[in-house]
Amino acid sequence: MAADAVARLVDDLRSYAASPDAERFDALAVEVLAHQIGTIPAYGRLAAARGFSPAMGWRQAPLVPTELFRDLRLSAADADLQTFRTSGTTAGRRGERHLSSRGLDLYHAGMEAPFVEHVLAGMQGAHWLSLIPPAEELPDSSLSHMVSALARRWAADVAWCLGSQGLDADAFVAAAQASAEPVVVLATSFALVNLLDALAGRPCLLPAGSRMMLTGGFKGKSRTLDEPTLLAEVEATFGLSAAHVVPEYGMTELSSQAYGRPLVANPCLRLRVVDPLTHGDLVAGAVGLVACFDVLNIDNVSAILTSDLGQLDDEGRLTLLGRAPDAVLRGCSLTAEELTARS
Amino acid sequence: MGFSREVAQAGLEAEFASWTPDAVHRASAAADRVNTLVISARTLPVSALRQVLLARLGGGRVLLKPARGQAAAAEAIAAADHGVEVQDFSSDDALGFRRAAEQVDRIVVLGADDTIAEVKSSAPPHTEVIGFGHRVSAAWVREPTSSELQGLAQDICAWDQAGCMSPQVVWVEGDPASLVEPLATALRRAEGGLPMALPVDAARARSVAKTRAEMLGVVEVTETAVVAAMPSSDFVLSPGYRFIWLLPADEVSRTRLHTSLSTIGTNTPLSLPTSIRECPLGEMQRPPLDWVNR
Repeated sequence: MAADAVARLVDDLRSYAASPDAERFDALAVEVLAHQIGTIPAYGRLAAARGFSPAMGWRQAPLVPTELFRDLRLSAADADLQTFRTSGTTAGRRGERHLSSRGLDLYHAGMEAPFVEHVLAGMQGAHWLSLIPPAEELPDSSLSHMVSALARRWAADVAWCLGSQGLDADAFVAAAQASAEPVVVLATSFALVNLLDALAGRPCLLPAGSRMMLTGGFKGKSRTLDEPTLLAEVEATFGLSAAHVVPEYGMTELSSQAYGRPLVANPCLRLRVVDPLTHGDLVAGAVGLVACFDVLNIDNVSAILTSDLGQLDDEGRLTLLGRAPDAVLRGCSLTAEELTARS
Repeated sequence: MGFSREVAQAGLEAEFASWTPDAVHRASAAADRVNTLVISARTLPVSALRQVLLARLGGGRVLLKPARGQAAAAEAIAAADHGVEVQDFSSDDALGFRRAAEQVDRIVVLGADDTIAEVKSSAPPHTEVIGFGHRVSAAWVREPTSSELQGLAQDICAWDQAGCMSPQVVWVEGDPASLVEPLATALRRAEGGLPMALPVDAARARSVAKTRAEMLGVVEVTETAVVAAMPSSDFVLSPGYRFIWLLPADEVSRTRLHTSLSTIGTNTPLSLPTSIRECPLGEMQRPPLDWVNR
């Protein structure tokens, strides 16, 4: 794709993110796929191996499992302005996603409106309390980048209560008590549980009308709670009802997010639930692997296969049902973990 | 355990074929009359069966703790031989283990390194513990004939590639990509008599491996198997369920794996340490009775 065509595509995507028109999605996806096949060699080879051409449409695009971001470069060659890395809490190397200025620009363009609609819900200019470190402390975290970028645009100020020094529960309590107006809390599940543990049952009631964005799993960094238990503890400690706690679903490998309970995708993102064996779409209500197509992921791969289990409702909203289990081990062959332990 | 009837039958027939009169005679002469606890922590049913039968050759009693999902096989063995008793305690049942261990002179454990270490540390004093740990296997080929490839296909299909003697990779002298289609053809012939259904929870691991191979190498898919030629000779574990990597032959990569290797199936002589079993293609899952896989 010629440089001027890429620039035009980026303009179209920026315009789509600002003013989504669902009827344009499929055509944009075809152009994005053509760009990715032409600029990401590994994806080009995958498309050729599967006999895929962009005109076949985004639903037919070869899905790339997120694990492959750990050891393959799944980014355009000129995407070298910013690198985001996965948290690396599972065994093995951290996944990497590289972005150019155009990719970063689209990332920013897509993140604003859904966050404002679902999380802020009219609370622009509020005080924020963040249990997600700022980008200055975790420059390779896409979540920190997103929160910092959104904070610059929408927060009156931010109390960063988790950083290189660890969790500062006292700072959180002080910031919560200092505000008479509703606040916005941003948290990962494990950081929130660690805060609850630090508070040890001590209430820290937030001003009425406060809201919380909650993202991510526990990743072995805290005790694990199911969602109803976590929400009950949040209500008991912070006085926030479940309606004011907004789940966010995003990942390092994507530019777009989904919000809500059930999750509603950003208009630039399509969520699918697919058969693990065939990767074909499952009907609403059936449980399968969550797959995504992110039209803003221009520098990377748009068609992603996650390791999350999920279920779509009739309106295409997603309920996450945990991680897909690994196959039961049988036989006497060494596992990867056993082999690593021996080397 | 999810094996098709045909795969289980073929595996059992291969095992019983190794029990020749001569092999049984030699094994009987070497057997002690001791009571034995066989702990089958994670292994193929034939491996547990072999250890039970070898222990029984000496005339002592055998207590058999079956692996998960193999209780029925253990009960069948016990029903056929009153000298065998099933002891189905869970892996974290220290009391159950102690009760069983106190009844025997020897414990044979088939499982992971940490399981063997745990059994050794918690066994009663003066009780002999023999461990058979997990290993991996590979093949090494040089211009294989179609019948040798057919043997390799049988090795891959046997026990759905779940055994420690199942090849994970094939190191190919020459261009690995040139063997993709011939090996896939051989696998199609083999899988006709050895059906396998890929479990849903194994599909994602296969998808990851297959997609990686499509991005970096050459892939061919059969009804049950995936053959993937890659440019690097570095050993890589297969996700199992008949997914075989073809890699450029490289002695350094192979040597690096020697301490974890059980068996190499090959059609060309190799200089291997004596701890590694070298056998013809098609014989990988047919170890002789006197071979010790430790």
